[in-house]
Amino acid sequence: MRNDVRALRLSGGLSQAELAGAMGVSRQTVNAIETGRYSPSLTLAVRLARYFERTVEEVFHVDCD
Amino acid sequence: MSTATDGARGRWGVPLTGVVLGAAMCVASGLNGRWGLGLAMLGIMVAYGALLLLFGGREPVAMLAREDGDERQRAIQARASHISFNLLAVFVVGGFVVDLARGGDGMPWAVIAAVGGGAYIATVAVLSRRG
Repeated sequence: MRNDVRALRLSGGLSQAELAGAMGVSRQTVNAIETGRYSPSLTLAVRLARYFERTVEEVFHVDCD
Repeated sequence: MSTATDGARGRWGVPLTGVVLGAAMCVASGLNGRWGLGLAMLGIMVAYGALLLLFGGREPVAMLAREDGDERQRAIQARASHISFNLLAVFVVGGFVVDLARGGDGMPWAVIAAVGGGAYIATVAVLSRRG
């Protein structure tokens, strides 16, 4: 699942560790989400979207085709 | 709320448990006069505990040393447990068949298979009810 987490994080001047701390997950998990190796749970996806003041659809892009 | 005590327990809990188990194995083996084997088992557990402490900063090692973690780490733990269970099941069933072929009664493979299979069935039943 593609996402804009890395772009949003960098635009906010945050490190992976800082975003991980804000979300209560490990830095490796943030990295895995950013690189598309891990699709977060609905709860974490919503929390990430709210953190960046976006909707989930604006942050995560599901390819349904 | 996480505290420093929780962190220390998380870091030392599994290594210390391993050492205690190793000591128990050592004593149990030693009571039968096999102190060499017992000390070897204790040494393996101490080495494993030391490995967890020395390399605890690396994620895979940290995940071995702790049962908690975030959702991705818990998912990895669940998948690893699933794969390990399947491999163990193949090994146990294989051991059971080989033992039967050699004229044995299949013990203790049958007991291990019964415990594992029973635990799996019970777990599926309980978790499916919880949704």
